[in-house]
Amino acid sequence: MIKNKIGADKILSVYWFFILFIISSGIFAMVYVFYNSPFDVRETESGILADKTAECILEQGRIDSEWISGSQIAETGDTCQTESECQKIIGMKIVSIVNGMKNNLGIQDIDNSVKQGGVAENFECLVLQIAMQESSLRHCVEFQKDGNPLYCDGKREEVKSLSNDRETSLGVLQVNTKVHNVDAENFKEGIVYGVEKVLIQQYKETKDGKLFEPTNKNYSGWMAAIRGYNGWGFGGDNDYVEKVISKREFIQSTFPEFCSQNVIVESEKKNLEEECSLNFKSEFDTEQFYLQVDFYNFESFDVKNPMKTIYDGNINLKADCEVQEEKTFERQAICAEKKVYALDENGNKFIIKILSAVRKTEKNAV
Amino acid sequence: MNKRLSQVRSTLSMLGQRRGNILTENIIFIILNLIFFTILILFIFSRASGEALIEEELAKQIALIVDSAKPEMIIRINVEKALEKSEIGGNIVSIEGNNVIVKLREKGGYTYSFFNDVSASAFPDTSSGEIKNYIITVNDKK
Repeated sequence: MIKNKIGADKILSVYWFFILFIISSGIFAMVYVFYNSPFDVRETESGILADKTAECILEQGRIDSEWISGSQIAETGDTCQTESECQKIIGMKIVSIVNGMKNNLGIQDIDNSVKQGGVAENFECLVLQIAMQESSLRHCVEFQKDGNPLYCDGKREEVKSLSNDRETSLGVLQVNTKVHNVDAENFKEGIVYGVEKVLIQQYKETKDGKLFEPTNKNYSGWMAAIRGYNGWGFGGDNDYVEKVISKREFIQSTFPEFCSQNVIVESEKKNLEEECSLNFKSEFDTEQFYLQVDFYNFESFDVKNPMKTIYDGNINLKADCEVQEEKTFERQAICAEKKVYALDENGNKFIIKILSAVRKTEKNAV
Repeated sequence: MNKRLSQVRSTLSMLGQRRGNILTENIIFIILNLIFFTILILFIFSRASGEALIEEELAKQIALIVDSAKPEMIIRINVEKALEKSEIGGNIVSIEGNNVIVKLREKGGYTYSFFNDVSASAFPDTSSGEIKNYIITVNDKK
């Protein structure tokens, strides 16, 4: 028995050293990994970058109107007397709304796709052409009242409508409220719905081709989307696609700033680096920073629809921020977002959203 | 009776030997354990206070300070820990362009950039004789 006990003790000490070895290997490994990974300061860095940008744009809570000049919604106060003046105002508002949406529609390089499809110069102009065909760029029954082309906004009885057995179409994009559950008497709501839930959905569903039975014609790509906007059944406008495309010239001449050849309505790249005393050069070859400033009208704040967007730096990093909205991936750029309120010289209220991204992955996360 | 007595004697002598063995084994066992844990702790401390780590920490700290700073600011930063580890004397921090460089070893050093477009410089604070701090000055770019 005593012999066995001695044997057992020896075995126990061998096991003890084995366990000790495993534990210490684990501790070595953990310490090695912990101290060999760099300090990640990018969150702080991007936060400082956003703060500095806010300080640059605002002075004691006031914003210089130069930052927001050129934005379409900034010109909301514009009035019109003639029909063409009112069409121009309505069209610019449509461009502004659609421009704010188009990056969230899930279609890559949408402008190029529209142009290649041979229907319009870019996506905004396609929506303008449809609006021209549907309502002659008019949201209300009259093209203006007291110089306001949107006097009817939200008032169903004063909104341009077409009512019959199969449809009650309302507003500038004549969305059929008998089929779609939307308050299309609201100018913006109608446009957002018409673009997102009708035009884009039709594009996604029918881009590979679909037969239009009333004329036995096969449509694909953006032509199919336009066809789908009017409907695939009998009783609609059989030449709808051709009519929308024929509006291209009129839209080009009315909105040359958006729709003349090779124009793409993009967020404005501004030299924030210089204007805000920043220096995006770093020890890396490529730019490691991205900065985006979205200006919103306080009264009609809609996160998807800024009145103006400016950016600077490496735009590729923007995608890193989008994928990290719910979960952080340390090997991608780290982003910070700040929202501030501001007033301009005339007392107009704005919300300013600043998005900053810092990459520098090799020095912070590998 | 004699047989029984001799059995008892032999058992007692075995127990005596066993007591000697247990003591020696335990002492060796404890010493080995101590050596093991000492190596482990030394390893942890060596990693935690390595020059490379201090270089990185200091360079990033200074870069973030410069990022947050405004022109005409003068910032004093304690670098005693880094100086203790320095193999190259007191000249351990330099700023070139928008890069902060911290160098504690002949072969080595760490660089980190700041985005604030200012003219920053770093020099040792010799006001108290022994260098304990570095002074970072931030000015507008002329």
